Amino acid sequence: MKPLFSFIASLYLLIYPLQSFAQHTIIVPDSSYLIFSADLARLTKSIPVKDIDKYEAVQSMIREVTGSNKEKLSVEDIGIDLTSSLDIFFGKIYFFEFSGISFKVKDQTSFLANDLVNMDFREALTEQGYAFDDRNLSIFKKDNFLQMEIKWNERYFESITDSIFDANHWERPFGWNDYGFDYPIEEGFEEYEEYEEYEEYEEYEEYEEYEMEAVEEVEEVEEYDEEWDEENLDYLDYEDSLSDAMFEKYERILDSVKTAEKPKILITYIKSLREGQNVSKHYSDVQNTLNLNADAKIYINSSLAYASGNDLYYLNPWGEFYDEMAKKTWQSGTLNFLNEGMKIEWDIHGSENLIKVADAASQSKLDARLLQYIPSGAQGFGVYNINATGAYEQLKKVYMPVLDNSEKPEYLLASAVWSTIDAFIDEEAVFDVYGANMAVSYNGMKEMELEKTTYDYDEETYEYTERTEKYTDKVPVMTFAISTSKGYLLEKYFKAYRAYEDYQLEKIGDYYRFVKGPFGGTPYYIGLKEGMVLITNDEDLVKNNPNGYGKKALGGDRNKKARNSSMVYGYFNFSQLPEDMKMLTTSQRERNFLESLRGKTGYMELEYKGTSVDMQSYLMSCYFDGKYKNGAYYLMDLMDLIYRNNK
Amino acid sequence: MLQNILRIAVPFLLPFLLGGCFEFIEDTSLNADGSGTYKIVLNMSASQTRLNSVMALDSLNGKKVPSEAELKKEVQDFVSDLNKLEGISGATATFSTDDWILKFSCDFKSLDLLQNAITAMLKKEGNKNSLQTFLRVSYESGIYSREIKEQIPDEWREKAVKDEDYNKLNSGKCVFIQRFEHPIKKTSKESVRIAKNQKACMLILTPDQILRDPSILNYSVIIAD
Repeated sequence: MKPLFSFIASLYLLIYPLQSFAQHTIIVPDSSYLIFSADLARLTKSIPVKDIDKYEAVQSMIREVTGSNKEKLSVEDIGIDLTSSLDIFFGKIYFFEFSGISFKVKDQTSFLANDLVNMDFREALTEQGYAFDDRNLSIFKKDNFLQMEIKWNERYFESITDSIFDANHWERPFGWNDYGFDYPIEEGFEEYEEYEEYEEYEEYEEYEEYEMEAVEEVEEVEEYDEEWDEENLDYLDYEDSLSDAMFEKYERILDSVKTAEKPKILITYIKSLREGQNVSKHYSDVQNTLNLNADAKIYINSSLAYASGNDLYYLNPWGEFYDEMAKKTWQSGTLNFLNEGMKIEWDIHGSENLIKVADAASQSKLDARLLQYIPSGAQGFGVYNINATGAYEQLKKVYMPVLDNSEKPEYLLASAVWSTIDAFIDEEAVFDVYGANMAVSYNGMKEMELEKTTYDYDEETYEYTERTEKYTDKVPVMTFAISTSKGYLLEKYFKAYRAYEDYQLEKIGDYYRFVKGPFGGTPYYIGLKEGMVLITNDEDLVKNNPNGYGKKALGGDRNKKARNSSMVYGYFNFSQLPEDMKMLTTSQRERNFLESLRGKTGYMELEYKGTSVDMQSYLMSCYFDGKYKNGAYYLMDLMDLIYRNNK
Repeated sequence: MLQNILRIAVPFLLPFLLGGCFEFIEDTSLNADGSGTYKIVLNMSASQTRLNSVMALDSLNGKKVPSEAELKKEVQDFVSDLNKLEGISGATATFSTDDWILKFSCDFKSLDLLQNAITAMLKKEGNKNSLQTFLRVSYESGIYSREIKEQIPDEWREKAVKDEDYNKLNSGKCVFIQRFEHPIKKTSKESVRIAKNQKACMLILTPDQILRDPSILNYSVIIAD
């Protein structure tokens, strides 16, 4: 399976720069919760095959996938149809989790010669169109090829084994039940309506073949009873022997169950895939995403990842409520290359009620004073503002009736408790303390005075004593600014903290100093101004600019965009970052890598784009420095550089 | 133990040395019968910004970066194991990422047993060779001597010279102190200075001096009868 993962990993090199004219491949399993789909036709339009082939990383990937020793290889040698799409997917059904890759091939015979295809599978794939072993399966469906790795749900087989033990009134190994293996398989099974095709597995033929073996095992265990000789064998030894035998018996029957079950499950599954059981259950969501006109598309439905065989999911009294909400919540993204960079559009889809809450949260205005604490030269910054009170009110408005109208006792109790809390608490006051209206900035490296330990040697005896000494070093500067009118609460806690004579906290004028901070162990400072809490490791801010940087603060378009943003806005310029990182690295190899990143930097911008009836939209734009034909070339260059550095 | 701390300090010993900003003190007190106390101080407080940056990472160059708790446990395990070895007692160590100073000390019955114990610990860490392959320290008939057996490989030296941080090597400090019950008569090298009380001597070197010529660490001390 190593070649598959190597192939998948390497294909990221190809996939990112993909641009979609291609017909989307239709062989993506139904229960995939994450699908990454790339359009190879658009890729080869943005960056022709002859240019892709020039990259060392690509050559290495092709060499590994094809197993070829040719000096000069081409992506075309793999045999993938470069006018089609390529999908990477992760999913889960009750019987197993899976991850795999799917694409269209030009010629089956030549494609099967690749190292990517398990040698043991080649004959079966040629003759019957599918092949599998305990952990992998490969399928041809016309010209579409799918390969996936499987991680079995062991509890499924244990449940069958338990049933066999129960049916025969055999005792399970000591403590077996204590480990929680008594999973209610049948209930979980029945809840999965989409797996109706597996109903045949509920009708087990009374496990006849297992019973025969099991009877033999029981006889073996009974032998131990006869062997127990009180004079020669300690009871604990006897118990250990009995326990070992019981475990051995259990494991043997479990293995028999697996041996019999796995092929049946896989053949049924393969049949369903070949008959079209793919991306149909969530057809509209997935298909709408995969058919978007973009270089690459991503679909994520995390509720599917939890849905199959998760104990907590079924035992949680809120499972149904969560389930309803989660099923309607999914994410989709598109990636498109531009001449000067790339653009990622991300949508979070949800139920109308949930999006109403999210929309209410976005109805907030950033406290413009926060921008005063971001210096104009900041390499990166982000602002975040949420109308927490509005979101809470909307949450109450849409979900309290859901609870009130339910007949489930826990929902009705939840409504009662929630209403009580709501009646006692002034939510506006709460959200004024914990509300989210804040800014964070990375201001680059700054020379700061730090303390180190040094040793003085007594000339008389050469005994040495420790001394603290000041020294300067460059340290990454970070600042957090939080808008709140309840900063005085923090001051009270600091006062109490200091009363405990904690040497870690010192009050200097209007601000506080913590001796050891999280940024390189340097001190950090907290300034409490009217309506503002400042946390930074740059003393200059709290000491000399407690009201902000004034004319030296962030200005221009960035200030305007941040000030007018809803929810979130972020900006980061990577141009100086390699140079900064060099100061913190410890090896020449890393420094060489960072040095080679010069000219491959750029900047990125993250924006909240708004809310529609059932989704929230975000946009991330990345622009590169230097001269590249388009974003695909830029990203391939970057990926190739990383590959060369890591090889 | 030291290996793991150096793994944090930097992935490899050489770049750590090239970082330059450290102070290493080896302090050996010898009684007339050959027993004594061995102390080591590794002071990396001047490299705290880099080291804390490394600690913030999950892995570095493909190697997992241990947490402070894991490092402390390594230190305690080392001390505990060392105390079980023949001729070693009272081993203690402290280490903190607050100041990045490692302090270690132990009592030994003889320098040979101390070197055997260190070799045993090195082997436990996966090193095949004994300490004596590289360094031989002895105290016999009133003469203390130390000898570096192996030279630093040329490729190490060449790699070091190419490193951008090579020039920082002369800002580090390596201090070797020996203390005796009786006054010192003389030392084999002028650079090994004798304390005013005549009962201790000290050699201070920079890492680049050692890198250029490790034999600079070869010297002997003669104790008065």
